[in-house]
Parts: sequence; structure tokens; C-alpha cells
Amino acid sequence: MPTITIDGEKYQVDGEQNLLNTCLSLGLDIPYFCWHPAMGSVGACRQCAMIEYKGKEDQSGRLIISCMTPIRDGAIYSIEAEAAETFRGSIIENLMINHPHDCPVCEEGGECHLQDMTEMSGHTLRRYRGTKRTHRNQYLGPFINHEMNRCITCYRCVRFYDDYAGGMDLQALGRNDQVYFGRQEEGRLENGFSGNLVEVCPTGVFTDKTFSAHFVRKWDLQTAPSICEHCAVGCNTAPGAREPGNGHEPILRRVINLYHRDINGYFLCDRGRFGYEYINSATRIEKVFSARHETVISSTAQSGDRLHREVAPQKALLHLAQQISAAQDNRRHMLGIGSPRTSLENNFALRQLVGPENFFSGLNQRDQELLQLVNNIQSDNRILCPTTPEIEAADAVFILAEDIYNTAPRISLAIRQAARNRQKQQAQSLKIPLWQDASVRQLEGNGSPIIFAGTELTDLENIASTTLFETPEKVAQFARSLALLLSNPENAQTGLEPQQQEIAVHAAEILRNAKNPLIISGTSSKHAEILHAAAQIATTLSEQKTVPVMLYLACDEVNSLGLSQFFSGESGYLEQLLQTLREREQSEVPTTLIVLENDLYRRLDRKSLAHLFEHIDEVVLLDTLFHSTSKRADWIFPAAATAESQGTVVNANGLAQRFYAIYEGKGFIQESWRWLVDAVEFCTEKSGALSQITSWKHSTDLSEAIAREFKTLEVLNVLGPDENYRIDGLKVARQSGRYSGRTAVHAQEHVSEEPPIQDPDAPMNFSMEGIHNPDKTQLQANIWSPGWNSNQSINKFQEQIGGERKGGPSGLAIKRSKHPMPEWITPAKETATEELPDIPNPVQMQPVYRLFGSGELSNQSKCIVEATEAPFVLINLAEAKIPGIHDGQPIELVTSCGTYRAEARSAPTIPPGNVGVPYGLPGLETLTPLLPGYASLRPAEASASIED
Amino acid sequence: MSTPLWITLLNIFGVLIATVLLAAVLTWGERRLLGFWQDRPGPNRVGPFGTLQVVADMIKLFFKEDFIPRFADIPVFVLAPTVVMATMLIAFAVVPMSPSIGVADLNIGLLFVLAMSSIAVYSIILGGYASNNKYALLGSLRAAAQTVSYEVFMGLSLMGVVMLSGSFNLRDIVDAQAGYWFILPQFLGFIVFFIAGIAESRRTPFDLPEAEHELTAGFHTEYSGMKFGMFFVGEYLAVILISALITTLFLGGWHGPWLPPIVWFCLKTAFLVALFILLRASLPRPRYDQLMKFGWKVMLPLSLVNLLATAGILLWIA
Amino acid sequence: MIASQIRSLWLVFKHLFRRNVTVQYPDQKPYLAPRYRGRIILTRDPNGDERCVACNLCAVACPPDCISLQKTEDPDGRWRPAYFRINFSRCIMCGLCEDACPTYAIQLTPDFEMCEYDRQNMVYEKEDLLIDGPGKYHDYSFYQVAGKAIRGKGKGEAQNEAEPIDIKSLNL
Repeated sequence: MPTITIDGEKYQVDGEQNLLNTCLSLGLDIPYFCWHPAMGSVGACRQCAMIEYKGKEDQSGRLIISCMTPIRDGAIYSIEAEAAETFRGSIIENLMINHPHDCPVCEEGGECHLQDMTEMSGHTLRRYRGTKRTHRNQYLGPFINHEMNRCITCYRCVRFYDDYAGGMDLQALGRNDQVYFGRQEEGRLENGFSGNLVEVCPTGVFTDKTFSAHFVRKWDLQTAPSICEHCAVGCNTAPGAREPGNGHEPILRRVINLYHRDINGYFLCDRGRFGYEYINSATRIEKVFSARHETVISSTAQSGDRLHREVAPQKALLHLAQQISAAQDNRRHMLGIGSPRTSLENNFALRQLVGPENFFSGLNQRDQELLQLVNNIQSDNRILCPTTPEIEAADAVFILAEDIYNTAPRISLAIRQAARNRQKQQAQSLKIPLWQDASVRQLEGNGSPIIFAGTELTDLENIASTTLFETPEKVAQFARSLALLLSNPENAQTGLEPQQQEIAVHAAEILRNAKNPLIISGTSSKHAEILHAAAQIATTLSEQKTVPVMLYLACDEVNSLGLSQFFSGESGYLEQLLQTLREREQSEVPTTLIVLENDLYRRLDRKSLAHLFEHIDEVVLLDTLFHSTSKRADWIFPAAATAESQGTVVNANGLAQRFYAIYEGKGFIQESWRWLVDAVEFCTEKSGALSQITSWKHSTDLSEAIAREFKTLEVLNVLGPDENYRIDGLKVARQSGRYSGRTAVHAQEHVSEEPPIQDPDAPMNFSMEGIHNPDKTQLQANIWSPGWNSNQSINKFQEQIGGERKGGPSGLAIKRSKHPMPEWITPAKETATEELPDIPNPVQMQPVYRLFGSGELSNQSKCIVEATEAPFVLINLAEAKIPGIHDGQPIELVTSCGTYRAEARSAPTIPPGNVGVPYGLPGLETLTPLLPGYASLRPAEASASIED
Repeated sequence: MSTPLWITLLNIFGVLIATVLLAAVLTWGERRLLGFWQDRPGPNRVGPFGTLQVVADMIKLFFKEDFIPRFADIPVFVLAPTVVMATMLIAFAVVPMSPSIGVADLNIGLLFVLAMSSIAVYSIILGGYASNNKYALLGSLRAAAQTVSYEVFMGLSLMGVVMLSGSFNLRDIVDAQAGYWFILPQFLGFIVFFIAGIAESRRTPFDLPEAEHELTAGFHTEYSGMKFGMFFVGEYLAVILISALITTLFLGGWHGPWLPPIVWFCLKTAFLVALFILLRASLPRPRYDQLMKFGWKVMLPLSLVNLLATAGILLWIA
Repeated sequence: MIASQIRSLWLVFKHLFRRNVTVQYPDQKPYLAPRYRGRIILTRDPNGDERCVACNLCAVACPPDCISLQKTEDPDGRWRPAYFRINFSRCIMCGLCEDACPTYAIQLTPDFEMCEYDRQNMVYEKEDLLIDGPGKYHDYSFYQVAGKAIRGKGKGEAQNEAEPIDIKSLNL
């Protein structure tokens, strides 16, 4: 390890990095703009100048730009030398010449890297008296606000958006001092990572438009570590909330990235960043409701839909308690349906209340079997679930039927980095350090191979080296053949068409020769065969390489994998619930169904559900949002959303992570498990199981109970501290030390201050009292260090730049017993011979996913609704010529559960005979249980009414 | 024996009412004087020169909510303030104010006064303990230690006077000063007794038991209404008592030319009371360890020296 | 040591003969300088628009945390406080909010007499604080020096600003 001297101090450092990176890792303060920990150096801003001396005698030294300087063993540097300081001061003075005088009306103010660096370089007085260059702004869509005057031309935005995230529609336009960062014409930034511009831009050119609508400064946000609930990747976030000051309770103001090296690093996708607004949306359930049973003269509601009225929570709880008591005495059946989009704790509470045999996962058979398959595959020793840095290090990627950009966006961003590995290898062979970003990117040659086989590939298509678009069945066959080719390259009988055979041979060769191959697949195609094949490829490769091979399997929802730990074998799916109900049809005993945070219309088709509700006497729903199921519920309880509650979720890699409440939900909103516990408290007599339920006072009590009950989830015991944990006798503060307005924000109601609400679940305060230092605990999500008000202060809390956060990673892998997968026997499936249904123009609907539109919760976020497409269907119009259907024209899909109207959209990659139907898109949500499945396609008649 | 009953009763109630009233007036007088010394008027709004402030305060105290904390030891809490007031008033019984005024003519009058002022500290200890409050308890602990320490030389410092007069009877002591006041031969004794007297009455600068900067209000933190009022009046009674004693013991009691004896007694006492207030206006409070050190390492040797010297001189003269 | 005690006794005693420095307040009023800094007001710019842009700097500067406000954006592009509340029962009249205010919106007035029987009446809202003039700074208008465009003042129209750059022009 080289030793260097900086300002008289000797340091042993990692010689791989540049000088700026090294200084920051050592905790030294040096200003910079264009360098970014994830994007390397380009040496554009000259802000990080230092002095290097030739030797001890050298008094003057020479100016160097530290981000462009490799570490030299024995070198003597200085940050504090006057020449360097003057130089840096003059650089910032020049950068600030055209900076508008608008910090007070800038959303970045108070967490602005430019403000910090200006302070740090000591240049705080404007001497320039000439005119300032100005720019006109552009409309960049519902997410991002543009204020070009503030630009200091560091180029970070285009380096992130174009180079790092692969966006096409943001460019540097103009030249010299007139450089403009924007689109060719106004419009939404199309890349799904555009939100990161807010954090990447060192000043206020790109700011969060949704945040601006209910803006407060960074220091006024109350925050805690949370987990993004919009997909199964499990990105760490730091949502911020604050009271509105008009007498209402706190609202969620924004979501920003919370650094976690192994998952999200520095970046979030736009669904995660902007999807939070569902929590404040009009569809939010905020009160307790019960169905009205009196006859209504006329109503727009459909038959079977309930009309609800608000009731006092006690009344509803008392009612639920009576039902629970009745169930205890076998006077009533009580069934529970869990949910993959809520925490393990909530699911477990319901499971204990109704009893394991009456608890159902809330997934249909296919989805649950897929998840169990994922779980089994990941339990194999030959499989490695890759972290994001591991994905970025892969030198060959095979994506099998997973449109990863739309189903696990952050992973797609990592794959994009993996595509550069060949370039990086070339750079290494030319002795170009990898942090020399501009030089590395200029190297010619192809990217690392990315092979795709599936129905649709978004965003990554321009870097994919080989693509094969086919139906999932054919893709599975292709993948099996590929596995066969891998194990027996010489004489494998694949039975593939020549063209596909060629691709398979090519892919097999690439994967075999790769040092670090990565297989990506997932449940989104709803095809077990695909998962089988992916696992087969991975295990075959692993046996050849004798090391575990990286296989990333994307899941649908935030806690999909966690929920599946509660079920083993053939149990718990909704079809079984139907079966149970059918068996009990003769029984006189009435049935209550408790639905936990789940919209059943996304799980089961309407017919089955109609059948289900027929056999249920009463439906109790605990949820955050109104949806189709809530229309059928007799009692509705408002459940806390992720940002309002504490819980544990398991991501698609089997990593259990805990999220903490940012603020207490409005009014009666509380965690679902608390509603259940409250109802049990109302019961007069409590059996053993029920008295266990009443003993739960803290979220961690449930976590411990889960850890006792399930061996795989034992880590929940040690995942996070319980509510009694203290650091130096103190809890952790959710509010920053500068939180303002404490004695005024509620003063219009009552001038005396009330004590802050106590958090029963976490050792954290809903106040500014307690530990603020992120060094001391992972629970501190307000990343701030003196002099570093912007998000760049994360540098201070990493073991080295880009390394683990100090104190180790949060989250622990669940302990699945390792067992090899059974040899995959290709089932003699009837699918191969499945007859086309006897309908006109039959097409098979394949699910396609959209970043904005496929997320159940984020679909209620106002800005995401703006970015979501109207219902459409992807058809290969060039090949499948159906009379009367043209690109952009409305069509109708006739299914067993109704007719859906959508716009036909030409997509040359969709195999003929298939149509791509967007999964969960507003307007087509109830179609989701039918995907994949058959429908009849016809041009829409102009007068046709929409049957929903 | 020969005095008629009505004169005895007049004496008793006269002294009782006069002292209590004086103590009450002193609450106004002290504030007024402090005001002057601090370049401000002090209470001057109620009645002529604010003299009726006393009445206003009394009314206020009587109508205040008589709050007893839930966590207090209630009987002790209620009784404690009465002790200080009672003992101080009883002590006045033996103070001769003029040849004809004075309740009891006790031949161990001096010891009686010392005993009473020692009992007064129980009031504070019990009050602090019964409050069940850490500040109050700390205050009363300080009071106990302070009283124990300062009582030692308070008594010793008076032995010179006793030797000179040859009696514990306060009247005899006053009579013995017909020629010259004992402050002259016993100047050291006077100083020691004066300082000990301040400490005994817990006045600034020796008000560590209530040291409001550190202990909120010390032993009476939890007291309010008339119970607080009794502590308050008790303190002023102690001030008057110590002043009256100094007058009696060192300043020749009622002796003085031209004016009637009672006037001389009152004038001398009033002067001393004013001195007490001036001390409060000007001197800061010492630290607790300084207080203890001063008591044991300075005052005790001084009073012993005084005792030995007086005894030696008396023996030599004899 | 003793000498110093006696000296301080004497010094204090001498004050018996000094004039009082206090005045009989409600009857007599002391002289206040015209720019005496008592409670705050919110001023308007020369055009009569609110100067406050809801930047939150006063709130964060406030030692007893007695200022609270919420930013909102008007259709004309101006930032404005949706509410601006100060709890004068907590205010210590330190004037740090005036120091922090980047737009001269907050200014201090000689009014310090805010006695109320009900503490609730010490809570002032924006409507109570806004005055109809520019206060001590007659000509200052924040948006005329700031780069942010508002209705009636486009890009390049503020003081010391050049014409906006047309990125589609060939004449860059």
C-alpha cells in the first residue's frame, strides 16, 4: 500500500484510486463538482486542485487536479497550501459569475453541493458586476423541474443520464459559456432514472417537482430508513415527512435515495422516487368504514358493490371482536388472506389470528408456485444471488424472459454497467485507471455480451448484443436447449430451428467462456418453465466452473419472497380457498374473510371472485388504498403504508430488511397488525392463541414471534434493535438538529406544545432529541455532516468511497436450508398440445410490464399517473395481419371476464399470435389474473360501450 | 409573681403580635431596601409607599391553591412549616425588650434561645424530606449540615458574654452592659456570632439550602400558599430574633441615653436587620465546600481563641 | 478578602443615595430609538406584492423555533408562504430572523408591547404581520435581482441579466 503525505500527515492508502477519492475516503474536505463516486472523474471543473511537491525541499510545488491524479507512492501533497486555496477560490468565483441570485426560491437550497463547496472554498463575495448569462427553461415532465440559469456546467447530468443510465433525450447543447443541458424539445425525460438528476446535479438545475409542490427544506424533514415498496429489489430509501402546519397531521414530502452498497448504491428508479405520492392520494383509506345495508333508491355503483359510511373505530373493532369470539367457539369460520405487498409482521398477525390452516397467501396458484420455485432455486448451493456490485462486475449477461427495466429497474441499471466491463478490461490492459471515466468510455469496441430471450425488452435493447423475441413457451424451450448445449456442446439434440440454434450455440459459447456470467430471469412471464430453464443453465454453468453462478430472479412485489416463507408445499393459494369454501358450502356456520392489504381482483378472475364472495358472509378489509376489493368489503380499516409503519420485508435476493416509520399515519391509520390486536383486546374471552396476540405491544414482538415460528426467518431476531435500544442513553432522532418551527407549527390550534408522539416500535424519537450522527447508527437516515449539507455527505459515512456504510450493511439474508434442486424433469406438459380456444381471432395475451403502470401502489401517485400510458395492447401488426386493426386504433379484447378496450400499438418484437398486454395498467387491472391467457381480438366498434 | 395577669397577657400577646407583624412588614421592607440598593423603587404601588404590599401578599398567599404533591409524606409535609414559625416565636419569649417588656425571665434564657434555633432546622429537614423531591432533599441536607457546623461556634462565641456577665439570663446580661456594651470586649465574639446568626437563619450569603440557581427553591420547592408563607415568615422571624439577640448580647439591649428603653431596643434591632438586608444586596453566595471550610477552619478556631482569651483575661484580672 | 467584602457592602450601601435607573413603566415610557428592534412585520415590495418567498431561513435561524411557514407557488411563478406563523409568546426578539431574511421581507418594528390575557392571542399569522409598504428598504424587489422568471419578468429581464440564449440559433 502506498504511503502519501497530505499537509504533513502520513497516510497509508489504496493506490487504485485517484487522489480526490483517496482524500475524501480519508475524511479530508476538498471541494469538487464533476467527480461523482459512481461515475468517476473527467476533470472538467478544476475545483479539486491540490499542490504536489517534488520533495521535502520543494516549497512551491505544482498545481494538480486531484481527481485526475493517480496516487504516487511517497508523494507529498497539500490541500491547504495557499496557492491551491486561491486557485480553488478563483474557480468557484468564475463558476458563480452567472449563477442567479435565487437560492431563497431554489428547492436545492440548504442541501446544495454548490452552496457547500462555495463555503468550503471560502469565496463568499461576488466581485463580478457585469451581466449574467441567462437561459430559458424547458418543461421536462411531471417529475423534474428545470432551472437552467443555475447550471455550472459540470456535465454530471448528461454523464449520468446518457452515459450511466443510457438515456437518449438529454443533451448538452450549445457551446462555450452557453452550454445548455436539456432536450431537443420540451417533454418528459423518458429514461426511468431521471429522478436521480435531482441528486446528481450539484445545484438546483434539476429539482424534484413533486417535492416542490409541498416543499420544505432538508433540515425540516423528519426521516427514518425505509424500504421502497414498489418492487422486489428492496432499495433503501430515506422518505421525508413534515406537518403541513394547517392543523393536519404530517404528510410525506418526498423520497430520496439512502445509500446501500449492495442494493441501490447511489441511485433509485423513478417509480421508487416518485411513487410515494399514493400515500397522500385521494384514494387513500383514512377512516374506518362499514357497508350500508339499507336499500338505496338509485346508485351508480354496480350490483354487489357496497356503499360505505364512516363509523367509529370502536364500533368496528367491537364488531370484529364479536366475530373473533364467535370463531373461537366455532360459531363462525374465519379466513384470512395475506399479501405480498405488506410486511411479514402484518401477515403473521393475521396468520396467528385465523390459524395457519385458515390463512391464505393472497396469491393465485401460479404466482405462488412460481415464488416457491424461486425460493427453491435460490436455496441451491450452486446458485449465487448477486448483489448490485456483483451484477455490475458480470462479464456476460443472459436475460431470460424478464423485461428487467420494468420489473426490477435498479437491476437493469446495474446490468447497463456490466455491459461496460469489456471496455473496462481493455482499459486495464492499456493501463488506463478505471476512474478515468472519459478515457475509458472513449475506448472502441463492443460492450460485454448481453443476450436476451423473451417477449419484450425495454431500455436494454440498445446494448443487448443478441436478442431473441419469442413466446415464453418457445423461450423456455430455447433456454433448455441452451442448457443442454452447455452441458454437452458437441452433440446436443436441441430440436431448435436453425436460426435459434445458431443463437443458442453463440450464447452457450459466451456463457462458457465468461469468467463471471450472470443469468437474469424472474416470475414476470408467469412461466415455471422459464424459471426451470434459468436454473438449469445456472447449475450447468456452475458445475463446469465449480463455483456458484450468479442468478438473479426478479419477483413481483416487495415482500413476495418473504410471504412465500410462510407456506410450504401445496398450500395457501387462493384456489385452495375457493376449494375450502366449496367444501363448506353445506355448513350452516357463517364465514368471515379478512383481507390484508390485497386487491383480489389483481389475483383472481372475476368469475372466481364472484364465486368466492358468494360464499362469504362478511368481508373485512385492512388496506391503504381503495380498490376493487374495497367495494366488496363490509368493513374497511385504514392500514398504515410503508412510510407510516415498521416492518420487515424480504427482497428478491432473500435479504430481510426492516423499514421504520417516518411519521405516524393520519387519524385512525395504524398498522394492520395493530388493528387485529386491538380487535382481540375487545374479545371478552381469549384462548391461548389469542392471548399471545394481545401480548404483542411492539412491532419487534411480532418479529421475534416470527423468528421463533419459522426457521428460515430466524434472522428477524437480530435484524434491528428493539425499542429499548439506546446509544449513550439516547434514542435516535428522526428530525434534524435544525428542525424548525417546533413552537409555532401547531400554535394556531393550541399555543402550548404537546409532547412528541412516542414510537412504540423503534428506538427512535419523532423529535430532534437523540442521536443525529449517521456514524453511530444505521437507523439515522438524515445524512448530514458539518459543511456537507447535500447528499454528497454520504462520503463521510462510508468505510471508503463507494464502500459499505460504516457499521456494516443493514439487512440480513434469510437462512434457507441449502439443498440441491431436484433434477429438472421437463414435464410432459399439455401446454405443447394445448388447443386454441374456439373463439374468433384468438390471440394469446402475454404480460408486458411498464415502470409506470404496473405498480399497484405507484399507480395512485399523481405524477406517475401523468406519465402512465393509456390502455394499449402490443401487436405485431407487420406479421399478424388482422383486418381492421391498425397502429394507434382502438381495439377490443374479449376475454372470459369481459371486454377491454385499448389502443393497438405496433410492436415488431411480439411473436405473431400473441399480444402484449400491460400488466396492471390502469384500465386493464382486472385483466391481470388472466395473463397469460387467451382472448379474442377485434377492432373496436365506434359505438361499443366499455364493459369494464 | 407580683405582676398582674393582664400585664402578663399583654406582654405575651404584645410580643407575639408585634414580632409576627414585624416579620410581615419586613417582607415589604426588605424588598423596598433591596430596590433602593439596586437603583430601583421596589414595591411602591399598593398603598402609601407600597406599605400595603404586605396586605396584598397576605391575601394572595391565603387564597393561593394549597397544593400538596401526591408523592409527598403528607402529615410531615403539613407540619414542617409550623415548626420553624413556632420555635422562632417561642424563642422570642426570653428576649428582654425593655425593663418591663419581655415574656419570660428564664435563668437559662440564652441556652433556651440556642436550643430553639436548633430545633428550627428540623422544620427544614422534615419539609425537604417530606417533599419527596430531590432538590428539596438536597436543600434540607445542606441545611442540616450547615446548622450542625455553625451551631458549634455560635454557642462558643457567646461564652465570652456569659463569662463577662456571669449569667445565662438575658436580662442579667443586658443589665451587665449598663456601663459598656459587650461588643467592645467581645468584638471577636460579636463577629463570629453575627456570621453564625446569618448561617442559622439561612440568609444570603449563606442561603445554600434554597440556592435557587442550583436547587430550584431548595427545601421549599414543593411548598405553596400559606405553608410557603410560614417558611417565609419563619425566615424573617429568625432575622429579627438574631438581630434582637445581638442587640441584647452585644449592643447593650435597651440601654441608651434620652430615649425610652424600648425605642433603643427597636432602633438597634432595626439597624441590624438593615445590615442583614444589605448583606443580601451585596454579597454573593459561596460554594458549599467553601461554607464548610469557612465554618470549621476559620470560625471555630476564632471562637475558641476568643473563649480562651476571654477566660484567660478574666482569670488574670480576678 | 474581608476588605473586599466590606468594600462591596459599602459600594452597595452608597446606592441608597442614587437616582433610580428604572422608570414607572406603564405611566412613564422610556425613549425608544426609531429603529428600535421589537416585534417583526412582513413587508411588501414596491409593487405591493409580498416580499416573503417562503425560503424558510427565518424559521431555521429562530433560536426558540417560533416561526413556521409553508411554501406554495403562485400561478405567476412566485414563491409565497401559504401560511406564515410566529408564536410571539415564544419569541425572544433576538432579530436573527431579520438577519436571515434574504428578501428584506422580515423587518423589526419598535412595537414590543404585546400583552394578552390569553397566550393564544400571541400567535400571529401572515395576515396579522403583513403591512402595506416596503418598510425600511423602499426600492428593493427580490425578483428584480433574482434569476427566477415570474409573470411579467421573464428570463434575462432582471437587473444585470443578458438576453436569454437561444440554443437553436446558429450564432452561438
